[in-house]
Amino acid sequence: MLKNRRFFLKNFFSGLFLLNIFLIIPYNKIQSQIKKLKKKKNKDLIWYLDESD
Amino acid sequence: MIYKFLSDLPKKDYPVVIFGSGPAGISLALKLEKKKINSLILEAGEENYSEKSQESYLSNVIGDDITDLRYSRLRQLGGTSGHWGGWCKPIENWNLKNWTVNVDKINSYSKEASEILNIDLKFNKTKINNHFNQIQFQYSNVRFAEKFKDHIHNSKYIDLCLNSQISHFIGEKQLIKEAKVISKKKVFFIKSKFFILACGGVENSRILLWTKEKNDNLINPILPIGKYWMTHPWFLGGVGFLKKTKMENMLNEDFLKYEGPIHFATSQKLIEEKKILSGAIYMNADEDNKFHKEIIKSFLCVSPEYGKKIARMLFNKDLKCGNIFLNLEEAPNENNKIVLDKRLKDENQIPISNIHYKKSKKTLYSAKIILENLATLFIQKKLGRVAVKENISDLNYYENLGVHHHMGGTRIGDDKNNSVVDNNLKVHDANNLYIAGSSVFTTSGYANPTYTIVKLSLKLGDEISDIINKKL
Repeated sequence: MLKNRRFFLKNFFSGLFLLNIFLIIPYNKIQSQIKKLKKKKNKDLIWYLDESD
Repeated sequence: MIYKFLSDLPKKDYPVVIFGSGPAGISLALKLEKKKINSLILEAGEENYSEKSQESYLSNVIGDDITDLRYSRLRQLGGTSGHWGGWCKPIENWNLKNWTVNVDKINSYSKEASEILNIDLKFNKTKINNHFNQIQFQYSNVRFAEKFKDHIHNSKYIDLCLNSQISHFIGEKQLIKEAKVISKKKVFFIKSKFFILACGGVENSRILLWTKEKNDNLINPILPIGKYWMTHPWFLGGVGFLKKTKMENMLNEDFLKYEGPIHFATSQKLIEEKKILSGAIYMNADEDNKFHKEIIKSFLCVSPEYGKKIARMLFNKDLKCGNIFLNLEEAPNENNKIVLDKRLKDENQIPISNIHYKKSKKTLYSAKIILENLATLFIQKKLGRVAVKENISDLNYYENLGVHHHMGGTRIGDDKNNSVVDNNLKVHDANNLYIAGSSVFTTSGYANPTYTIVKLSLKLGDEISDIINKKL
């Protein structure tokens, strides 16, 4: 039982890790390309920024 | 020859008389000279700058402020080219789509115009993305008085008389017979076959309006003389920084290397997609380290991490950093117009101009959209960052850096209800009266007007010489 549970958890988390690599990261990249502009005000100027700025 | 007063001018028949010795008038006379046609240029001002002469530009502005004509224009030999900045660029072909005149025909005079203006015929354009191009201006050092004074003095075909102010034209049944001209307080009546008004973007309308008032049936009353007057809104839109090497690498061989400010211009696609007016954006060539620091400080406040990287780049001199200026097209508006003042007259008893001018919301909306799209471009291509003035679209905060380009008032067109001259620059229903200069512009585009003014004058020279040669 224990061995099966470990096997299941190991596969589950490594699966999640792979999902993260193959799906989530590219998804984030796509998101960063289409994300809306972030605006921040400083004095009388509005800076247009990237989300990573 | 050049004469000081009309009383000095020997009696001679001139088939063409040109009023105004600015870029429009002199370019036209040079073209006629090539065709061996005599012309007389009458200049209202003196040979050099005089405050007394400038006073004739006194005018009222009703509505929003524009630069006083006494400072923005020059009434002297060579006209306003005596203090112009020399920026030259053809109007984009797609900006000319509402002009009824053939665009290819105008552009066929590019080489000749560039020779007059001592500029290279290089107006390259590089596509950055679908919305912006990098563009190239040429900078002319020509002062028309300096360059052409001796030439005119020695010319067999061109005579020029200073201190000769046209009051109005006189004629009937669509035919101009003579022009009333005042020189040294004496009145002269100048006869000719062809009369060309080339007095500038405000004076052309003023003289034509005064002619209309002084003659009952010479000028068609439906012509919208003085209306659709335009300028180029020129203002500070924000600040920003641009990674020069990054941009050079991105555009590779197509990157336009030239001296002076870095110029971007809106593409036709952006204008059509967003339904805005076209514009050029430039960052000054001059570098001001103190101002750079101010901009980087402002950026550090909103983005400390990335700001540090940018601050380091400032020392590598790879960063173009500074104000972002805009030069925009202005939409033609019937209510922006030149009319004659009912009470005040100048020293020659010609009514002074009243300029009705209202800034447009569409201009500021366009500025906002253009800078937002530029900011997106800078982020997407990792070229830098842009900050836009918070109140850019608020008319109350709109500060024009100067109104020096005066266009419209006697615009080209086929329809007499919204145009004054035809495609050959002849006033509708007037057989021998033509207009040269930026007052004939149907729309303004964003490009500085002088290069187009010269091209149109050269075209007009060919039209007139063709008519004269056919008659002979």
